This record gives sequence, C-alpha cells and structure tokens, in this order.
Amino acid sequence: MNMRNLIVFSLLSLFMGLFLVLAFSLAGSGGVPQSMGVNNSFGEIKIKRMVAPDFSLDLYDDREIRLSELRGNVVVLDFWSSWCSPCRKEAAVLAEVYLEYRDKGVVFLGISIWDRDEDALAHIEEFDVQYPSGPDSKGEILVEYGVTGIPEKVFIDQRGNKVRKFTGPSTKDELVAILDDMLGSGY
Amino acid sequence: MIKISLIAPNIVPNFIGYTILLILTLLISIACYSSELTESDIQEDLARSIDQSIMCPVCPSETIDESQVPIAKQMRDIVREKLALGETKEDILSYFSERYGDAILAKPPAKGFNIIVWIIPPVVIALGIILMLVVIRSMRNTVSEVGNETGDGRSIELEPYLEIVDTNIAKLKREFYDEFGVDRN
Amino acid sequence: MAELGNITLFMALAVSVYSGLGSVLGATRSSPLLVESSYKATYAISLLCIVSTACLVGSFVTNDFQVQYVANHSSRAMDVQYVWVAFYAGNEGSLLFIALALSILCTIAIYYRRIASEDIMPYVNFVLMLVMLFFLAVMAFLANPFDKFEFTPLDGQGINPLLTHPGMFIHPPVLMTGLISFSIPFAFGMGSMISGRTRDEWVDAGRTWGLVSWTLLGIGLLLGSWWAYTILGWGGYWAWDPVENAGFMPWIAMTAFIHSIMVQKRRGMFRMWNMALIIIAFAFAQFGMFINRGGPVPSVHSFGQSTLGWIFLLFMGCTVVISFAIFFLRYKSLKSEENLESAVSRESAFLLNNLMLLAVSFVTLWGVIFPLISELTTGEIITVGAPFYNQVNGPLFLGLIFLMGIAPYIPWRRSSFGVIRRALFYPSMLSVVSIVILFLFGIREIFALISFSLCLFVLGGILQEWFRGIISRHQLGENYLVAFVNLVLSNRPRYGGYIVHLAVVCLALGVAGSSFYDVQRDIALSPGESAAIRDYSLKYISNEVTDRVDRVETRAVVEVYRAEDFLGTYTTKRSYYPGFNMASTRAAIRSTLVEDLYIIPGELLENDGALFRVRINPLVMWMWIAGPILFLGVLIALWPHRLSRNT
Repeated sequence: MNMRNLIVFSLLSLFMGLFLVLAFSLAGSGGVPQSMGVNNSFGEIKIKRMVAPDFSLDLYDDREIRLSELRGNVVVLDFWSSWCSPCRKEAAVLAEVYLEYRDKGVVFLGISIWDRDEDALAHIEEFDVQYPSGPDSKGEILVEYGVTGIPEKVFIDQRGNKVRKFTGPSTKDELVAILDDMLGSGY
Repeated sequence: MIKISLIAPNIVPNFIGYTILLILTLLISIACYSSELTESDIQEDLARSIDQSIMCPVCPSETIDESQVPIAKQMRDIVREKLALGETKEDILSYFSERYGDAILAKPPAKGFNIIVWIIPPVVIALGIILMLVVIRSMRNTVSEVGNETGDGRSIELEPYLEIVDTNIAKLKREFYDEFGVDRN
Repeated sequence: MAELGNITLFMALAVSVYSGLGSVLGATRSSPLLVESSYKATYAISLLCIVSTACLVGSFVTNDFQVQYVANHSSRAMDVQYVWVAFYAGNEGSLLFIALALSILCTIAIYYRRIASEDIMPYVNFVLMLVMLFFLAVMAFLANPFDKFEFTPLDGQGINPLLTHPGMFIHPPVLMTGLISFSIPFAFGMGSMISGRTRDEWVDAGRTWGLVSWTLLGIGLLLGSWWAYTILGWGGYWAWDPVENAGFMPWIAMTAFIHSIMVQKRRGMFRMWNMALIIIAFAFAQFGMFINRGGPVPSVHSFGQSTLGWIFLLFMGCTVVISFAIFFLRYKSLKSEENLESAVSRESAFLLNNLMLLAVSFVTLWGVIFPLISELTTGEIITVGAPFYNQVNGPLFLGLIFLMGIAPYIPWRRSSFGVIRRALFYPSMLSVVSIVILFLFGIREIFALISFSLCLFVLGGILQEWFRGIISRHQLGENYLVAFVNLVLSNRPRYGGYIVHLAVVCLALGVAGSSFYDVQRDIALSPGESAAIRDYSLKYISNEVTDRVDRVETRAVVEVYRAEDFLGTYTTKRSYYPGFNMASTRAAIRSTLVEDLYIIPGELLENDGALFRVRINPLVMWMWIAGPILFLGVLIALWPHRLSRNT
C-alpha cells in the first residue's frame, strides 16, 4: 500500500514537472519559435562588455574602413540583407536617424551579409543609405560578433568597447533613446 | 542436391547459412574498408568532426556540417582556416561558444547546471535496473528448478503445443480465480 | 462546397457526442440496440469525415481562395496533383486528415471486433469517441479549415516549395495515421479497464492494433528518413530533430508494448505493466502531436506552427491523469496471479527488453525537453543535438540488438544459462569469426566492430533456428521449401517476429555503416575538371540553367568513374525559389548494396564552375531494404487465422 502511494506520487510529480516545463516554455515562446535567421521582433541580447574585435570592411564605394579608425565615435554595426523583410522595414529609419546623428559623433556601419552585391546596391539606392556599407562575404565579421540573424545591431562606445546588442527591427524612438543614452552618459 | 541431402541432411542448409553470413561479412568489409588515408584526408575528417559539433545559428537543429545556408558554409571555412593555423578542436569550439553562447555547441558542455543532462540518463537507467531486479525477485516463487528446455532444436515443433498448454493453463487459472471469489473490482 | 464541408464537420461533431454517450448508456442499461446504433454512428462519422475532406480537396481543385486555408496553402500556379499535399500542409488541414484517419481506423476496429470483444467494445468506442471529439472540436472551433475571408483574394500564397515532392504524398499521411492509430490499442486497454473486465479480454485486440500502429508509424518514420535522404539532399536520414524524436519516442514505447503483450497473451502475466505501457505509448503519441502542432521547440520541420500548442498540451495532460486515475482504481483487479518461475526465462528477457526500450524513449524525451528546463532555470539557451543521442542511445541500441540475438531462444517459464549457451554456441562463434575478418579488413572502430558482429550474431541465431526447423521437417519427408513454408505457418507470430528482427538487423547494418564510415568532401570544379574521392573520380561536364515561373533550376551533369571504369552520367538539380528565398537540391545518388555515392549540387561559381558536396555512405541501401521486410514480417504475424487454416 505504502509502496503503491510512493509510486503514484513520484510518477505524478514527474509528470507534473514535465507538464509545467512544457507549459512555461510554451508561454515563453508563444507557440512560434524563431526560425530562418530572420529576427522579426526587437529585443536586446545581453553581452559582456569587452573590446570590440577589430576588422576591416571593403565598402561598396571601393573604400576600405577599419573599425579601429573610428575610435572616439559611437559606432553602430548594422548587419542586414536586402531580402530580409524586417531589414527593409528598418532601412528608412536607419537612414533617417543616421542623418540626424552623423554630426554628433555617431558612425553607422552597414555590414551586408548573405546577399548578392547587385541586390545590396539596389537596396542602398532605394533607401538612400548615406552611411558606409560593405559586404562581409567570408562571414568573418559575422561570426566574430556572434550574429545569429538579421537585422542585428551592435553598439560600440567611444573607447571601442562593444556595449549592447539588439536583434530585430528597431523603431526611430528606440534607436534615438539608445544613442542619446550612449552619447549622454559619455562612457 | 537431393543426393547430398540424403547423405548428410544437416549439412546443406547449414552450409547455406554460413555462406550468407560470410557474404555479408565480406560486404561490410568492402563497404567500410578504407585505403591509406592521406594527410589531407585526416585533416578534412577532423574538420568535419568539428563541423558536426557546431550548430548552425540560423537554422534550428542542424549542424553546420549538414546545413546548406550561407553562414554554415562561412563557418565551415572559418573552421578550416583556424585548423590550418594550427588551432585544436577545443580552441575552435570555444572560439564559437564564446561568441554565440553554448547553444552553438551540438552537445551541451558537461559543466555547471548542464552537467545534469549527462547525469540523469545513467542514473535513471540504473534505477530502472534496480527496480526490475526487485520486481523479478518479488514475482518469483521458488519452485524446484526443473529444466524445460525449449532451447535446443528438437522442441521447436513443440512450441505451438506448448503455447496451447500455457494459454489453457492461464485460462483455467483465471476461471478458477473468478469462480472462487478473488475480487475483480 | 466549403459550406458543405463545414456542415459535415459539425455533423460529425454531433454524431461523435451521440456515439460516445450512446455506447456507454447502452452498455450500462444493457440495451444492445443503443450500443449497436452507436457503432453505426461511429461508421457514419467516417463517412462525414470523407465528405468533409472531399469538400476541402474540392475547394483546392476549384481554387476557391475565399477559403482562408486554400488561399494560404495553394495558388493558381500550383500543379493540381499537389492538392493532396496542400490539403495537409497546414494545421487545419492536417487536423482534418487526422480526424479522417482516426474515424476510418475506428470503423475498422469496431467492425471487426464488435462481436469478439463484445463486453468491452462499448467502452472502447466511448474512449475512441472522446479522442475523435477532441479533434473535431478543435477543428470546429479553433482551427476550422473552412473559415472564409470576407473577400476573395485573386490568388493564393502558394505551397511551401519543400513540400512539392512525390515523397510528401505518402510520408506525412502515414506518419500522422501512425501517430493517431495509437488511440486504438489505447482505447482497447482503457475500455477493458472502464468496463471492469481487466483480465485478458483486450489482449488480442490490443496486440493486433498495437502491431498495426507500430507498423504504420515505423513505415512512416522510415519513409521520412528515405525522403530526407533522397530529397532533402544533405546526405543524412536522421538528425534527432525534435519533430523526428516526437515520432520516434512513441514508436519505441510501442515496440516495448508489442513485446510485453505477448507475455500476457501467452502466460497471463504483466497485466498491469501492459496497461501502463499502452498508456505511456499513447501519451508519447500525444506528445508527438503536441510537438508537431505548435510545441515550444524549434525544428527543421516547422511547417504550420501555430498557437494550438496549449490545447494539445492540455489534451495530453488530461489523458495521462485520467487514464492513470482509472488505472489505480483498477489496480487490484489488474494484479496477475501468475508468478515468474525463474529469473532466467523468456518472461524476464521481455522485461529487460521493455526496460531498455523505455530507457531509449526516456533519454530521447530528456534530450528534447532539457533545453527548455535549462532555459527556465538558468536562462541560458543550450542545444542537445545528435552527439548526445548517439552517445547515450547508441549503447542502449547495441544492448537491444544483443538481447534480440538471445531472447528468442530463451524458453518460457524457466531456463538456465546452460540452455542458452548451447543454443547460441554457433552464432557466437560466427560473430567472433566475423570480428576477426572485419578487423583484418581494417575496421578498427570499436563500436563499429561491435555493431556489425552483433548484427551477424542475431542473423546467425535466426538462420540456425530456421534451418533446424527446416531440417527436422525435412526428415519427416517434406522438401526444403515446403518445410520452410510450413515452419513459418506453424507459428506465425514467432516466425513473423523473426522476419521483423531480420529487418531490424538490416536497419542496424545501414545505420552503423553510414554513421561510422561515411566520407564527405566539398569540391569546386570547372567544366571538364575532375576530382577524386576515395576510389571514385568525378568529372564535371556542364550545367544548364532554366528559369521557371516560381524558381530557377540549375542542372549540373557529372560523369562518374571508378578506377578506369565509367560508371555513368549523373545529373544533379538545384532549384532556387526567390519568393521564399529558399533553395532545394536534388542529389544524384548511385546506390549499390555496398555503398551509395551521393552528389549534392552547390552554388554555381564564376565561369560555369560549380560547387559539389560528394559523400560516400556505406550500406545505406540496407535501411531501405528493411522497410519491405518489416512489412512482410508483420503481415505474416498478423494474417488472420482463418486463412492460414485453409492452406
């Protein structure tokens, strides 16, 4: 009798445990797991604050830019692709915010990934992107910064530390708030 | 054929059996036989074993070895580049896990909380074995050990009859219990 | 047309309520008429489901884009034969398919067992109707395939390109049917408990339907692997993906059940255990459907994700709690009076087999849910991928194969190690010889050696058993062929079982060969250039690019040589779908019993060059051979008695 109760109890609690785990994660994911490397909603990924790895990028206008040359500015790395719809949604916002902040010590750097050059150029043309952009064709920058999907943005402070990382398309307000915070607190 | 079987009826079928097994063994051997591996083969196999331990960050539950998306290819290239620079498998795996978190590794590292993913299965299996032994012990009544040797070839034909006997015994017992008030509900 | 489909759906819902209530009322008030009418009602549900399905298919054929489901999963450009695939491409349609399959299975089960299992059948019908009701209600109120737009879109969104393949015509339906068919043996078990007839009334039906659903799901899984191998073009067939695991776990649990139910059939033992097992197997099947229909784990098979997860989770929870509640209410009457006579006996071998099989499904479940646990407790996301399953399940599989080589020769009731030793002397000698041969051929991987020799050990045992039977029949004057046929017919469950074991050996050979000794190389070739991989050499000839309405197709032609011999010309195909930003590849495969040469096309390079991934997968073909053998074995084991008596 006692043995039986013990078995019943442990089975029941095991099953309840399983049930709760599933229920909680269902509540967390909302039933729609992320997929295909496209980030549809805006969110921050916590990162350790550390020196941003240096790299050089061949820009579409045939210049070459090194991250370390930009020391002293707040740098926003934007990983994007022309076929990704959240990136397209965000493109106009980025272009606009850049024009407002370009004289306040902020540099945007567009890093185009998983894309064909002609498509990327058309995208730049279409949204009148003024900030420097270039392809990361070998995926080295991408992996170095642990990018898991697009769009993804990494914010680097004036001393060259990577500070914050965001996935998904941002709105103008969100972007402005982050930039003002980084400029104001003068890291 | 018939003649041989008349003389030695046991040999023909057994011979067929041995032949089947031998052919199969040779087949496996040929399939898995590999000639001398060159230096680059060894290097490539190592690279692949690393690929197989790294998940593709953009496609759920595929490793970069399987996945065909661009980033998987880029990551494979990076793996090979680093190998060429003389880095070890551990170096490369930690390079990726530092940047992408432990989720990038196909099997969770046995440290911290995640160690229980490795501990629980053997523990549960051990518990299961103990439980089974207990059950066998408790189900067993000690009747004198008389051999009922269906194990050798002769009694194969007996099997169907044994089955009928068994089933009937079980049925009789059941009826007995039903009749003499072993409660059912 | 969609209106008719909707109406029949609701009618089926009403009829299932009637059938469920009717059969219970009829049984408790002993009104055979009411019971009979509720069976008829169950038959009617399958008719209604057929009509409903026909209506949905009809809406697809007539491009009725006002129906949301049609608009979401089809388009004018879609070839008409893919209507069948589009029908279950999303949640709503697959629910309808599941309801259809369940209703037909119910009809068959009830029709054939209504006399033989008269006492428990009303309750079986009741349980089945509860399951039926769940699916119909979810469809009617939460995911109605006949929901309409206010307007009519000009064109639909089109079918997911990965689904437009012949493999998709059979694999998903068989898999879904397999999963839902678990309801039938489960219902027999539950029915016998509810009715209080907890002896062995349900054993025959439970075994038969257990085997049927085991076969359906097994074939579904195998077809899935075959499809993945030949079509998905990554060169593998099984990735331990959560959705694959979701089909695998119930299958393994059912494997345990179809073994241990034999002990009840034969000896009247393990009553409680079998009941618990069938509940567990059904719960795993529900877990599988939960994962498929909106579970919280990401998967490569994420077609038709939705928010139906909750309702399926609830369904699973309720089923488990209620069935185990009934189980513990009937606890006393489920006890067997039979005793285990010896620790060395067929009965305890079956117990060990059950333990190991359940361990495999437990480990798999653990791997699926551990990332969720880890995320909830530490907030850190981790992955439990193929290496984990291989490392933990691998040894368990080896143990199972070993057991498969021994257990059939351990006598029932009681035995001794001496008997087993004598029975297995030749097979074990043979497997030792095979280890030596394999070792001499340079196979040094320890686990590969063990797997191969275990396979040969099992095979040796089976052949020995067969030949001994044939010989003793031959001595009685039958010729060898007749002797073999009569041998099999003399005890079909046993010999059918051996044939299924043969299929498992084939499967194991394929898995072991291809996972230990596969070779893979990525090569870039320009036209006319050759590359060597092991003793093969590949010469890239040319490519051809065709623009289609929805895709760009690239075909690359390759000539394959081994040593100096020309083996043939192979064409690979790669289709890029700009609308979905998705590429699908069709590999060129040269299959032989020894090994497959597998050429996967990559992207085109400049100057007409092309990337290829070339793989050599040893022994894979044995996996596909296993399918028909397995089917044959089950057929022999299950073929109705009447027919065999005539022959």
